[in-house]
Formats: sequence, C-alpha cells, structure tokens
Amino acid sequence: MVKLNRKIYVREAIEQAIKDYKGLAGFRLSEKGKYYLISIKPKENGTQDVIEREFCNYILSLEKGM
Amino acid sequence: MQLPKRKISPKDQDVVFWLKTKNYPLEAIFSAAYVFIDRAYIYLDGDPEKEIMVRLRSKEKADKKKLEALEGEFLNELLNFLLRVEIARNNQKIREYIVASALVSSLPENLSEQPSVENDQSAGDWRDDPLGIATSWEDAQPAPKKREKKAKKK
Repeated sequence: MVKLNRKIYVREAIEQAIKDYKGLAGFRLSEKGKYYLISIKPKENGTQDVIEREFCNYILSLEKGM
Repeated sequence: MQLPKRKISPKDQDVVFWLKTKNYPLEAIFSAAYVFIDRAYIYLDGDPEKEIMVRLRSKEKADKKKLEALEGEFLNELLNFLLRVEIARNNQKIREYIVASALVSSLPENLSEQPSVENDQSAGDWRDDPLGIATSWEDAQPAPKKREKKAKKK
C-alpha cells in the first residue's frame, strides 16, 4: 500500500501514472484523511517493492510537467 | 545556520530529512527531486505550509557515507533551484515587458501603426488640403495662350 499526501501529490498525476502502469500491476485508488491510498498488485511475483517505488518516482516526474 | 534534521538508515539504504518550506519552497523541492529520480527513490510527505519530509532511498548499494553524500548533493541541487526560483521571481516584470514588446513588434505594420481616425485630433478635417494635392491638373498648369506665346519667343 502506498500512501501519498494529498497536499503534495496531485490526483491527476496519480491517475495518469495508474493508466501508464496498467500493464505491470493492478491498482486501486482511494482517499483516507490527508492521504491517497493506492493498493498495488503486481502481475509478476517479487516486483512489489520496485513497482511501488518506481511508481512514486513516476508520479513526481508527471507532477513536474503539470 | 541550522542544518535540516535528518535520519540515516544504511540498513534500509535511505536518508530522511525535513525541510522548512519557509526556507525551501515546495516548487524548488520538486525540481531538486526530479534531478534525483534516476539515482534514488524519492518520497515526500509533511505539510507544504510548514515542513516537508524528504526520503531518498538509494537505487544502488550505499553505506552511511554515500547516503550522507546523497543528501548533501540533494541540498546543493535544492540551493541551485532556490536561486532559479528567486531570479525568476525578480525578473518576472522584465520578462513580461520583453514578451509584450516582442508581441507588439510582430504585429503587421497596418495594425500597429495605423492611427485611429476617430480618436486622432491631429488628422483635421478631410476637406482641408494643406499640400495642395486636391488641385486638378488643368488648374495647376498655366493657361494655353501663355504657353503658345512662350513657344513663339523661342
């Protein structure tokens, strides 16, 4: 589960990242308090950590262009 | 100067530090983070109005020294972007002026130079003819008799 601060991360960027990572994992996006909660289920075993971390980096890179 | 508080964890290969947004605007933190995307996993948290937590997790194996260096490089990059943000803020009016004058000069001449007839008081009445260009050719030439006399004299 990835927790992203709503004041820092933009929902639009998260949704775009989910679209772009669709081929690698299944995603579920929800909100709780001041965080976006994203549950990630990778299609390949053993890739959970890498996908979560790269996913966060990718969102940051998308936000830079917004 | 007070250094930002930090926590280094070689076991997790990460360094966590906190930055006051009064000193480091979120815009500059984002820009610095973007530069480190290929070297570290970056996670941001906190309150953008008070303090931002930055977690850098090295993509390569890193001991305490390397993690300290990573943090130091991040802070240097942050300073670089702080300066850029500051310069951009200071030069904003000049940039706006340059863009505006460039746009005006790129307009076709007819649009940029043609005076508005309705508002132009100096244009005067259209029936005035101060240069005498409204005179017909016949009126402007001497009478035919005078011309004949001149020819005979020659």
